Amino acid sequence: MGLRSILCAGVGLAAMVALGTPALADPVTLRALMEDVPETQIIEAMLPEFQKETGITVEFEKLAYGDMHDKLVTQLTSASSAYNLLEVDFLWAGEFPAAGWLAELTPFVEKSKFDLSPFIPSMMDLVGRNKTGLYMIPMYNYSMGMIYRTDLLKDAKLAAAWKAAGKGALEPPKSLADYVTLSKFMKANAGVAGAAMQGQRGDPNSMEFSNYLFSSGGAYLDKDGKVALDSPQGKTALDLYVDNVKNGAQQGALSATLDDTLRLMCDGKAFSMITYWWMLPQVDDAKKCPAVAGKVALGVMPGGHGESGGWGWGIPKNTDAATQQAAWTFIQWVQSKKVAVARAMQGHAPVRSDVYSDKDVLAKYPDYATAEQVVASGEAFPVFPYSAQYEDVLGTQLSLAAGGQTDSAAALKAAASGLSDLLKKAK
Amino acid sequence: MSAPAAMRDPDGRGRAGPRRLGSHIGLVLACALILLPPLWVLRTSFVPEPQTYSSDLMPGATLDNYVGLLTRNKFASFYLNSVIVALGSVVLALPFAAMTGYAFARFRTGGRLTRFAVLATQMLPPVALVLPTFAIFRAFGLTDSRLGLTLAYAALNLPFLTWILMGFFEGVPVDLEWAAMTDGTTAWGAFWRIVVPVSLPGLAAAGVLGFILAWNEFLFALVLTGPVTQTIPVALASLQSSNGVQIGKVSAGVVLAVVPLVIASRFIQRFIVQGLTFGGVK
Amino acid sequence: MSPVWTREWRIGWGFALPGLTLLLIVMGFPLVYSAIMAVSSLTLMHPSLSPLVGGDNFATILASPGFWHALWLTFGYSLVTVTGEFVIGLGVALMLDRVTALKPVYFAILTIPMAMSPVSVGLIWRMLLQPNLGIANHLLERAGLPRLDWLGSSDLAFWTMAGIDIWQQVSFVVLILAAGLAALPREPYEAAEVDGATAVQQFWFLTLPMLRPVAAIAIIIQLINEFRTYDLTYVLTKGGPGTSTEVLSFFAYRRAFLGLSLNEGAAASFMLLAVVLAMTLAFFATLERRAGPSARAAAGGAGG
Repeated sequence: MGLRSILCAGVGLAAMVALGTPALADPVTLRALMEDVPETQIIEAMLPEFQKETGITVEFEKLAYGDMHDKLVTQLTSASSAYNLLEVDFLWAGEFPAAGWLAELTPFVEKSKFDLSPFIPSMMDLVGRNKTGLYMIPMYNYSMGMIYRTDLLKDAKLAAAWKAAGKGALEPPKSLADYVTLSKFMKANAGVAGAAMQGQRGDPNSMEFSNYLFSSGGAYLDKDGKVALDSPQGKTALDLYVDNVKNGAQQGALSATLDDTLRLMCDGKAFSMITYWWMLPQVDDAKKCPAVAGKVALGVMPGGHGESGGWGWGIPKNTDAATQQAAWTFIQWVQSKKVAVARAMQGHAPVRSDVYSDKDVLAKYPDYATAEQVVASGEAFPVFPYSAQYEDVLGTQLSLAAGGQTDSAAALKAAASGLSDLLKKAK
Repeated sequence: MSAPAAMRDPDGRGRAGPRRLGSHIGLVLACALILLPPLWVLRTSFVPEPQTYSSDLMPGATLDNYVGLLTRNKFASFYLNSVIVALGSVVLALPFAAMTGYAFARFRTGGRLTRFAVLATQMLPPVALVLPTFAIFRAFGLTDSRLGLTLAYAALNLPFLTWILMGFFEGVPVDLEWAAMTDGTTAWGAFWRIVVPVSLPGLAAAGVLGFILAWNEFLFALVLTGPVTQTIPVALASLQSSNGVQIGKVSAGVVLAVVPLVIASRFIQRFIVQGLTFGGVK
Repeated sequence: MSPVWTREWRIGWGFALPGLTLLLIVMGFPLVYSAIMAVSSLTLMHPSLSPLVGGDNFATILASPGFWHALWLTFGYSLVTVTGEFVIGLGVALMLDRVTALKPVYFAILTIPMAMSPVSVGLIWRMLLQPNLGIANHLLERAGLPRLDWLGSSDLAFWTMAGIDIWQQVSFVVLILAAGLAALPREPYEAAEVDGATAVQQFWFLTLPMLRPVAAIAIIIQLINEFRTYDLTYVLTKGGPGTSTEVLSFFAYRRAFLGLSLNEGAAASFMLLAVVLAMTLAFFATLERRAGPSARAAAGGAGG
């Protein structure tokens, strides 16, 4: 093996590298950065249809959620972006418009007479308009509800034990306190975790806790936009959250992510989980989860309000008018009733109320009636430029409290003052 | 392969007997610790996704993970990207690093300050470098291209390779070069004909380490690539989504990513054994 | 000034310049830009470098309570991982040096963890260590031991992460040290053998001093790596539970990309650079003081 052959290989390789540079994109190609989830795959499969109708090509680049933000930020801060169509998570819905990256969509809506009225108001508030204008069109939602095991509620032995404990009939919980009590009962008596909890610091535990907060009547901000987290309701919510982590959840809850809870539930090792409502069909799947298929149901978060979540479509400002028009054509098409229904038939989580009430959709997915309630009753994590950072600030405090490293009053106070600091920074 | 290995035997440090047996026992133990997790990954790569977390040894056998990864996730082209970029960056950086390392080791060029300055370019977390790098690469049309990533990795590799090789060149007896140079060879000629061949173990080790660095790098790959130019780490990271982690496919991808390095390890091993003849050269 | 000196000087720079130029071209701009960012008011909400704010960003970082915790944690983490990697790595490299049979097999196995990207390593270990369904806890239970909360307990998470890191990085050190050992000259050992030196004496007085340049570089490179990486934290724990695995580079990452404060992220990064640089210099200084001039000469010119 001589040095010369190494060098020769190098020259050949350099030539390959040079030839490998991709050709310039066609002007009517829309490029979007997407998360690799079923929603994306459903749309991707329908893209040839769109191309036939309009002649516009759409390409999806798929990345992990956490990496999407890093990549978008680098692209959008530069003069022109490789992406001319954006998929925007609600956690970025404050940041992207404030940074001036998104085009205002009102002119497009007016010119094309696009009807926004079927869009569910909670979704429009989350990933549609803000105080300064309309920057996004809702794409799909991931509002949170409770998925629970019906077979355990019907179990005669468990029902008897529950009754013996003086709790009455064994049925789905009505309030947050009931839910935590039931969760602890299941852990003690049913040989399963009462709740599969996603307690990893950051996005998982912040999202999960938000459900506890809203369903106990608490809020992050009051009607005037002042921080209201450090309230008696907030304290109740956090105490119940910590109680459930310690006494109702699976071992290792503080490192668990969505993936862990999904597998646990699927394996029949948990009674319930507070999660995105469209996890139901995944768990209720005889092929994927034979242990629990047919034995699970969806409910609104006990207490009546879960965390809202959703994605929206946006058009970046740093592209030319023709491209923006093409992007709008696509958004109009993909969120039209016809396409939304077709997507829903394959499992899309709709943002239009007329899709939830569509006969064919309901016939195929009866649970969509409950899902619509979950979506409509949802409340939102504060949407402002530092939403993602606030998840980390809040998540740290929740994790400290649940791990017993600080008490709930101190954690709540720190989480509230962290929120005021970031709100001040955003101004 | 076995000839230099056999030559290894009579030397002073490789004494026969119980001590060698002890070494084997220790190595088997170490290798077992290293190997158990990858073995479970290998197993998982052949298990249908719903059963991946089962504690059974083989709850089912399928090629779905590999097939899905190669077809739906277009893994083959990302794999090729990684090979090109990692090899390219080493081929580009290694001669430069060897020369610079040699200058530092033999001529103390630039003194300690230069040495440390070279290394210090790598002390900043990539987080701080990635945005400016993107900006300048974009200005030169080097984003979303394998050439751009190759260049970036060559620059990331250069300081480490320089330092590793500097260490090796310091161990090369200087009289070898002096002997050659009194015979009329230039410093340039002495370097390529005397120093480089004698330092092959170091060059091989450095090359492999540079390859690994580029093979596994994530953040620059994330930012500097596009849908066609993605590399293995980015492609595998995208298998974790809000819909769960496709661990079967991740496992399959890891198994495929490990193969070339295991093959390369045989290659470097040859060089490292050859290093023994170095004593004889003297 | 002798002509030899100038000639050597010229030749030396001739060798060094191409590499240094490449480095300057590709790394120079980002480094300078990043340094300017650190003293600017650039955030994603204020996408402009001006006005320059001098040390304000550094002051902000120093004043945030999370910084000091992250700094100490990073010190501890780097110390634990680099020490682990070096001690185990040296042991394995020495054993490898003693054997001939099966050597290719050992090498092939040791290479495996290195070929995995940190993100994959994190995902794989999350699977192995999954507290309820993972194989590790299953085996513990089979052996009659308690199941461990590997990443979810604030006492254990740090050590779990360090262990995984050592598992992946130790081969790096083995490879460099094995190559270093292979390149050592034979004669001193033969002489020592004649003098009746024991194996321990040979290791202590011959192998270790002669291996010093290569070993020092292996340690420095790993020290830099361990100080800078955040991939494992990112995949395994996101810094939790609580703040028990919050390393400094993850802190800087969050400042820049979650906190949208590119300027503070850059400032935190430069402080990290300063710490690493100081540690590197201190390491070399101790190394030289310890070694003394004679050992240093032996190390620098092994056989020369």
